[in-house]
Amino acid sequence: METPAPHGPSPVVLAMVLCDVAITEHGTNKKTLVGIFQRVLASVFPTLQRMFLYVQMTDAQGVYIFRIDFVDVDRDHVRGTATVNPIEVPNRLDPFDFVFPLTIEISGPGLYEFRLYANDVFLNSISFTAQGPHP
Amino acid sequence: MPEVLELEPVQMSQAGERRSPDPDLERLKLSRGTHEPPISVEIHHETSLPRATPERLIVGNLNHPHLWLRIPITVSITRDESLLIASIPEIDEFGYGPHLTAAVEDLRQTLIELFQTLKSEQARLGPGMLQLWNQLQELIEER
Repeated sequence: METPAPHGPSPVVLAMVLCDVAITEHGTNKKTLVGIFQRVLASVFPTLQRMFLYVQMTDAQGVYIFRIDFVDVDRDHVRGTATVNPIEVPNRLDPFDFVFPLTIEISGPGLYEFRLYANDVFLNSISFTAQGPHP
Repeated sequence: MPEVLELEPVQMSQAGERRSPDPDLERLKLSRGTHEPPISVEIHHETSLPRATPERLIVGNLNHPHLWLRIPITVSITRDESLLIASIPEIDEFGYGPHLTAAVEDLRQTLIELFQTLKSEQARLGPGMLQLWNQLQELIEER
């Protein structure tokens, strides 16, 4: 069956969180976020880091293609893009959430961001700082 | 060479709640199918990384509990030395910051404060400000 074209009001982001682990309870879909952070310390660069991006949204009704850009802010580069296939959200009043398990390469110290788009419309972002070893 | 961004299967669901999940909500769940994976990941090569600052950005919300955009707005992005400027030429409003999202957030705050100020002063607005108030009401709604 063909997926309808993306359409619908822009969702409102209620929460956008980076954490070490996100656990989804089977049955209730409750989420437990462990190790929420906004800073990554690494002894060497580039470094591979595994993390979870949690996003909660509301006010969505329609068909959406969500996209996440992983951005090196200091060097003004998009280093990677993840696109979720079209999703139909039936009820505008129900909050819904995503858990994105990610493994990213951080090229060097600096500011990084995940930028969230729905149907190519910018919604929100979450940033973190990468730091090298302290002297 | 390691990939820059690797995305595993996404779990999407209703937000956490105590009651049992409604079967209808299963439609929201994503699964990685054999023939139609729900996610595509594009890794940009080091030599051809796209710029993270576009010339135009479509913004969908104000991130405010009571003020909402009626429709997404197209924001022009320009650079002035070390600052980025996010502007809406139609109403001559702008925000700025050291990077894209900071400039957009500043623009959002500008729009929110302007809306609230003009709303509280609307009985005393002159023709120019009244026109701006009318334009803002076409962009923003209060809930």
